[in-house]
Amino acid sequence: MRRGAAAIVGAGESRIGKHPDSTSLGLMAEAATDALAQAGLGFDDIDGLITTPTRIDGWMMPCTVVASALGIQPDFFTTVDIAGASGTAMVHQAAMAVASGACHTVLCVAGQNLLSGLSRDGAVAAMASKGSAAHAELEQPLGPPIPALYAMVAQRHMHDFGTTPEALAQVAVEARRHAARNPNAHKSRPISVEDVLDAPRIATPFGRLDCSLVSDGAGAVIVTTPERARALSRRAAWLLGSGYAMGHPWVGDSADLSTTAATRSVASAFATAGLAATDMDFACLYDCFTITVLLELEDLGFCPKGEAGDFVLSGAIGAEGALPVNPHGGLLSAGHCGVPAGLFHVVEAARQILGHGGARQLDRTDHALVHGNGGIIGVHCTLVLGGEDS
Amino acid sequence: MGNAPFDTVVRCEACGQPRAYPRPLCPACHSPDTVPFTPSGRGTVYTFTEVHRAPSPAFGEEVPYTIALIDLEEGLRLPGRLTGSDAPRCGARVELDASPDGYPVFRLLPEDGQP
Repeated sequence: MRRGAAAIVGAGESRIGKHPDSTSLGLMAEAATDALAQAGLGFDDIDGLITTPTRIDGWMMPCTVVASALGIQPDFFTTVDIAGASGTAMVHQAAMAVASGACHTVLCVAGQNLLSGLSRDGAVAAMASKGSAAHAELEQPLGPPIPALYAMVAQRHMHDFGTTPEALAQVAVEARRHAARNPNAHKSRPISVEDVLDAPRIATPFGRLDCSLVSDGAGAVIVTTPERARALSRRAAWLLGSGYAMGHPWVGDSADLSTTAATRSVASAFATAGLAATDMDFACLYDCFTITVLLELEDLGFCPKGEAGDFVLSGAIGAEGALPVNPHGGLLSAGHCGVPAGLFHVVEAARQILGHGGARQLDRTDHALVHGNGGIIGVHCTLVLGGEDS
Repeated sequence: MGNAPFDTVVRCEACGQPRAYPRPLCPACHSPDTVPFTPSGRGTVYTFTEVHRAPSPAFGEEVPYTIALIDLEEGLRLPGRLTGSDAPRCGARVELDASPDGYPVFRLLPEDGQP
């Protein structure tokens, strides 16, 4: 994908949190309507659609179900299914679609009423059963909730590099501090490092506050051609670079859990963009668990390997830090609705670049890195977004 | 079968690499041919976690329990349960324990220099 091949011209989201009246399709309609309004476009302008599966609904052909629900008949449509990396991958695939001429304006939309549709206990059970990130024969019989699989990643990182529980906790604290400035965040009550360390244990070294939320919610972005983006004469978030990398499908099938394949996806993305980690003004990083952010900070090149704990403890990922991370509060505090939630990071990065950050608007938003990972930090898709196309 | 609790473990007939996660082809050489292989059960802890929050009611009465990834001395890694009186640590030596539930259960061996 060449630099500047497509641009995000609108980003929106539904109500996020606990909304007992919500449905996955209703939440997606809210997010799509918001994104179109931000772009100054209508449903009639959309000729491409990309979505993700939901666990609750179990549809065959989710993209067709979503198109029908929104009353559109796009010329290009597909369902992206690489778990937490789907959000960033949707944008990459939308850019490929418009660059190829298959269509000109793609709605990327995904959402799920994960909390109201399943309950928190139900969501935990569903995510650990058939079709989950745990291997059916070798891992599921042992009884790992998904947090246990990431907890083993954290435990190894602590062994290899001396990473501390306090460093993990600081990630959750910063997320909550950011969420306090996001009126749509699911959880915004401030928490301390002690709160995180004292929270009920889930799977060591994780307590409850090291784990992402279970929420209802949907996100949406509009991706279009450079020509149409310029014709709209509004700010756009340009896709300057993107990259994928495949690691492992199962946690026990990884050679080294302390270093992820994100090193490769980011190399591709920066090579296309002609930029480096030091050029990024902020980052939106997939944060299903606190350890995920530490691994990403290292493997994406924001700090040396093994030093993410010190980086975070220095205050670097706060709103006033060297690299603000997840100004909206991320999966840890703004909300997490399963596979669709990777799109929230894209939505936030685009909003910041478009100047729609509200009370949490950052001062510098020329360049942003957005990263999604799927499985047990096994597959990766990285985007570099920018406020200018050149 | 007949390899309990290592039912999925085989060795590639062509290149000899052992593997635990079932695959139709060897990830090293892409050969489809395998030969039976029973690991010794001796190895070290690559990583571990103590589970306090069961994923479903079926595991509710077992908490807390420890899940680990074990590096077997034959050069393959696989998941199992971990038991023992010592606190687990990465690198600790283990051996196969009785595994009545069909999955591997490993027992932590006493640390060197300790009774």
